[in-house]
Amino acid sequence: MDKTSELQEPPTNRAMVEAKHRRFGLKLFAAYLAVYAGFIGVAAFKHAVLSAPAMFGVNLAIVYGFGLIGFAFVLALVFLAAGSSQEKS
Amino acid sequence: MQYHASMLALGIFLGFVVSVLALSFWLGRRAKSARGYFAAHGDVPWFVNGIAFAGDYLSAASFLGICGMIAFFGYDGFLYSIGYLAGWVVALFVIAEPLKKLGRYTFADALDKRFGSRSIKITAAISTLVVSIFYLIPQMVGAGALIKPLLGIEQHWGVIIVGAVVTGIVATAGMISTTWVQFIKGSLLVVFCAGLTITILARGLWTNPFELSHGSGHAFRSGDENAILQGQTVVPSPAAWTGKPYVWLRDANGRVTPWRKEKGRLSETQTLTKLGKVTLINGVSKADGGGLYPVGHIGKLPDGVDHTGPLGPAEFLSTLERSEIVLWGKDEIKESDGGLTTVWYQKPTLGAKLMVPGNNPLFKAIASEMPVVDAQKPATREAWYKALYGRIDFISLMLALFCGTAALPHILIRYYTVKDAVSARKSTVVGIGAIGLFYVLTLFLGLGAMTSGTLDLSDSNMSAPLLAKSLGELPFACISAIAFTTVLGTVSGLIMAASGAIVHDLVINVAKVKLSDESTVRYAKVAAVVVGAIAMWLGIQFQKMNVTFLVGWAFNIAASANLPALILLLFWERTTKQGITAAIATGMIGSLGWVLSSKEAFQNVYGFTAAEAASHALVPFSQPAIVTVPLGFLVLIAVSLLTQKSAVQTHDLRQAA
Repeated sequence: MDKTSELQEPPTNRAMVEAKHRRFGLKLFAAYLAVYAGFIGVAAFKHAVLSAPAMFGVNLAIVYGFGLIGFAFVLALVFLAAGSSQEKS
Repeated sequence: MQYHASMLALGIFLGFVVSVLALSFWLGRRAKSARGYFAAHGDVPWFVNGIAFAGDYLSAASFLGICGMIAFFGYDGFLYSIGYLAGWVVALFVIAEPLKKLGRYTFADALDKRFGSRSIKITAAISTLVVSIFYLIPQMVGAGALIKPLLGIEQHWGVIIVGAVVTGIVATAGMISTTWVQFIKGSLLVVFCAGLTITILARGLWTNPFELSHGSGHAFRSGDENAILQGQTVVPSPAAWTGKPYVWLRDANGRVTPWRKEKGRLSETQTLTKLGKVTLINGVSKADGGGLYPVGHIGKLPDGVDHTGPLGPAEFLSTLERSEIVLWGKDEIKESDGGLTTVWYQKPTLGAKLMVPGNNPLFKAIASEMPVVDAQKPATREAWYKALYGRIDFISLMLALFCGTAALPHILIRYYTVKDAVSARKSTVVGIGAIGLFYVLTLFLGLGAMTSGTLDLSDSNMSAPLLAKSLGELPFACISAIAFTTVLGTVSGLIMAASGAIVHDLVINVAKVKLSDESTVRYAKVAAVVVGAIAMWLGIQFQKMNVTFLVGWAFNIAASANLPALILLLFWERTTKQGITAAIATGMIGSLGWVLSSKEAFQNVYGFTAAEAASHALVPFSQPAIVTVPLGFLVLIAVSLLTQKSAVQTHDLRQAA
């Protein structure tokens, strides 16, 4: 943590900003959990759907799998961007 | 398979490993003389720190185990890639930021700050010790798998050499995984795997990869019964083989081998017979140079071609989806003289089936519909349970991978070691990007290994190095060296964590033994040697298993022992120290006991045949997380509610302080 900025800002305001950011993180987590659980649910109970062609001649299982990896990266980016803008405000 | 040491590969390998070690000692010395361990990270740029995240996290298990599992079972290995990356979402969004609010960096630290109790210290230290040792097992097995094709020695010698070298390094010099070394390793691993993937795509797919295997290749035959019988004569099968789907044939050279008979077709098999100290491989004794032939080829490419030429990434996947790939099934036959024969037989499998989850015997149940139960027929009920347990096993694995990352004792530390919060988040973005890219590459590497005619049937862990070997000595040496230094880094970190838990937490804080600085270091070194020896012994016991499967078990244990305590500590005010202690103990003992009484442990560790293991197993599926993680939460909540009085006191004390 940056010591100097902690001193410059009023501590209550900073704590509120951080708490807001943490809550935002939990929302992003909930979004990812839903997509991840969706993958598990489809694989376990609607398995045939995974074989359906999805994109570029590749089936849904692979597109969904790559999608989960890409989505984690996108969420981390969103979290970073939100954090930077909140910290400035 | 028989392996012969290659001097060129060995030279490059040793040069690489020695220079990484030298670099890490040099950087480590500088870091020590400057500021403390954490402070020294303060001036690390966020990008370097992010790649170092990848270097920390991508252990040998990620590389060797996942590629091996994909090469043997298709998409199922990729499930581990998805789950390991998803774990970062939990670690980043749920754990890292609130933990920072507590002003603490690790689970044990946070527990200590809130409760400062002896019973909690004991439980947390033992849990760190158990998770570290269980995480060490796959690293040791992976090390053995790397050494075998490189030096041509037996795998247990590989484990012993690696164990001795690393333990020696840790015991004499301390930790060898500084941020810069992890950065170098992380970037090399990702860059080399990207290079391998490009080579695989440029090479394309073909139906007879064996012609490229430097003369050691053997093109396996299979075909119509009448065609195969041309020039061969049927001979009587050994007693134990009657009634099994095999026919014994004598070829023109007088060689007698069993062939698999299925649907009017005959196909070549490979056999390994063990009787006492004698091992016969494909009818030749191991001492006389008998060895399994490398396998892995495509039976049919789309449109009947035998070579595709260079392919794009999506094209590569869609071509495989429309091909037929020859996998290998496995049978065990108890010979009448007391020997045990393992038979591997060709199993042509549609690519479309391999590109979805559900080929691994563990959860192949998910690939078929739930059977309908007929009350009159007990067999249908049994089938229904089997289908259900397969699904639970799959869901449980995905849950363990999701929850395990955040619960590992060492993984989050790097998050707190850059200069401010924004840099920490930037590092994580870079880390997740690099790790994610690597996991995407594992799918191509694994599928490349599946179809390159280089697999060793007796050990899936060697698939990636053997794939590199098929491309030449240089990539083979480089990949082995990078993977090996990854093992060194991970193992040294884990041994340090475990010996720290023993000496600092158990001896000094709990047993209240007063130690001078000098004797603390001495005790830590002794503890490191003991932990190293235990890990080597376990590495040999578990060497038959796929390393990423073993890492999956370590994630199960970490998630079960630590995650309920970690989450409720951060988000539930009424958590008490008794609740935490009970939850860690329940989760740890429950998941460890579960894993050790599963079918996989009976078969691969205690040495039973598959059928015996299935009847001995005490638990219905292999991954405990789905039972033991909720159990940990329940125990923690129940015990905390029963011990509220003391919690109110602690809370008041904290407020007063």
